[in-house]
Amino acid sequence: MTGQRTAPMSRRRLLAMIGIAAGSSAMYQAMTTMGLAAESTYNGPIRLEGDPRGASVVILGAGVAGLVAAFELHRIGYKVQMLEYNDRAGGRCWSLRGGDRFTELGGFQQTCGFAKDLYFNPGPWRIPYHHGGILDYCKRLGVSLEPFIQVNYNAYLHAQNAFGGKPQRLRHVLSDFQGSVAELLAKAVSQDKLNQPVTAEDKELLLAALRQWGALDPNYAYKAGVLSSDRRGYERDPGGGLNGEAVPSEPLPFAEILRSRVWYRLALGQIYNFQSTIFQPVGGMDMIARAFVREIGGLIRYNAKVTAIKQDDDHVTVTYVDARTGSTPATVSADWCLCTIPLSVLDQIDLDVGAPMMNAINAVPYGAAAKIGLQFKRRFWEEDEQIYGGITYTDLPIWQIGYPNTSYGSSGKGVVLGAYVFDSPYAYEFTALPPEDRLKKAVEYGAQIHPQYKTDYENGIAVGWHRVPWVLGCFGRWTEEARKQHYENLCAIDGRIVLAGEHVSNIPAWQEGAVLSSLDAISRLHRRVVAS
Amino acid sequence: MAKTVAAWRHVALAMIVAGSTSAASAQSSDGSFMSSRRFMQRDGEVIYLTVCQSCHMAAAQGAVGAGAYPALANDPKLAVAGYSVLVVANGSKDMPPFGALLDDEQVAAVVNDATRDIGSLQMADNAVAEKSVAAKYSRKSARHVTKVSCRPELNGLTLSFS
Repeated sequence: MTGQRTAPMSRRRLLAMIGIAAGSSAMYQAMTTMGLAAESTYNGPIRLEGDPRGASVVILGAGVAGLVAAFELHRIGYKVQMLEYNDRAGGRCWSLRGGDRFTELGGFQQTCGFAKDLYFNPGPWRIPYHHGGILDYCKRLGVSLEPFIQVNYNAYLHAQNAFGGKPQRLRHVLSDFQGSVAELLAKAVSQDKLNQPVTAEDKELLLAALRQWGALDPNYAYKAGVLSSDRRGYERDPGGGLNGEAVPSEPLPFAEILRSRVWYRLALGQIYNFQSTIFQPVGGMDMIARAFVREIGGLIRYNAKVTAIKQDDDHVTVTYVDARTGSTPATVSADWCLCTIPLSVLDQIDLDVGAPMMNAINAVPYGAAAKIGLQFKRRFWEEDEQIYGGITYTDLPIWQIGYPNTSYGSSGKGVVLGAYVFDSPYAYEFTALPPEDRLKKAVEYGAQIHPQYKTDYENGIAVGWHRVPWVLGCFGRWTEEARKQHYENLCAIDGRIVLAGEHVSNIPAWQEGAVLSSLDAISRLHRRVVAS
Repeated sequence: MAKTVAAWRHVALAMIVAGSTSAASAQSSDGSFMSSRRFMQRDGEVIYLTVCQSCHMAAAQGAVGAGAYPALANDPKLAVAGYSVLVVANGSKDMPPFGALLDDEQVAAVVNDATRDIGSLQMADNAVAEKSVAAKYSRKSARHVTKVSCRPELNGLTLSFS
């Protein structure tokens, strides 16, 4: 890295350098510091001023977006009716527990065999601290939260063709990668090899920072010793009394880490949505849906499959049939319609909207994802491996193993997220298998990381999102081009119809997107109602 | 006389199911579960059974829930050279595009597989026609899809997902 330039380091070049040295997430962090990254747009509980004067609204879909809208509109005096395809509320805000049945498209039926109080979230499972909308509803509705562990330094990074196939503790890989990079960079800086406009003063600071960041010794070396073991852990931890002396551990060879590509996952916990603190509802994600149902459950008509949405100058009329039988058509009418039906389903419904919204509805394919919950007869990850919550990442087709972030140290059974893949060939390939084979594969792959799978696995349940009858996919998979061309048309109120859901947000696949889109839609709708 | 697609699928399905009980070794023999970025299956029938089946089902019969997946069996549109290739490569409405996950030969193979018993096209001619169209459109689609904002591994960067 020699060069002749002497100009002071520009912001862009500094960012680029941080990106090269510390990875994209460090660069992203720096960008956040510089105020270049986005922040939440939630501004506290919505205030809808003005009297709706008896206006009525029919809300289609009782997922998070629909529930938020119903809750807010009902409390300020709207006449609210809701139609929901399922026999429960929540949509993708969904948890499966022992005894629950899930029948997927194609007819395979699974009955969840989990023990009492154990659950698995086939949909969203974490809520970042800055998703202020969904968190505020948890607070207002009394949904108890507990920490979701994204980064567990004692969980594993695993690559099939590295380290002899043996999973590596995150603390080892992270400390060693960081230390080795810091050592290299410190060498370059101290020998003026960067030859770049870091001033003499900044050079000293940078060297000090690298020492601190990488746990380097006074000679800027990263090597076995107390300093590095204070990061990566010891060969033998310090103990008490006689023979309690710590034995430092030996860092992994840097070249082996590089070739393993497990560094690919090192920055995950630094991604904005994955930064601490992250939450999960105590007892399952659907506790949020249940809390809404306690407030406004009486407004929901379940098992209602919408077949047509028609509007004229004065009303919206929705036709629906019994979702279980396909028969007994009925209609509801209202002044307005808030439709949260996923676009993958809405694009097949007889819908009375103009070409711009219709084209937008047709422009968004639905992404693939698969998630598998596995019950084991004991919490071996805690008992044998001291892994309390968090996620192991692997390049096996299961991608990740999520340990329960609750009931630590309890004896007896536990449920692990045995696979979570999305937007990848693996997601389709898991979905294409019969559920029983999905489980078999997840157990076979997982056993390569935890041999205890072979003896302790009991049962599981596997959800391939393209097989979920009420959404036909996992999330609205916008492209930048499609968003440019269609997004505003999807958001616009068409006559008396407005759409909401994660697909009408800039946070696709997150519940916060559903909340914010719903609040935005009802704000605009309400302004129109009050003005009319 | 050609078997119907449905009947033929049942035979194929029975073979696959029988094979799959014998462990994960199937993964490397048919190309499935080998890459998180591209489908590695080469055989059209295998691609159908390990990918398309997710939605269109084992006998290409489709399925109905709140919305529906179209049956492919006996759909005459699919026999029009180019149509199926376009749909597979570029997607259609809620169906995702596969042009960035399958190469031209794979698109041609799976389209030929799905349409082999439909219409009156000669299979060999169809294959040639489909392949040339695939070459044209799946590349176009691949360029398009690399810009998807939700891709977890966009340009090697990991993006977040709930």
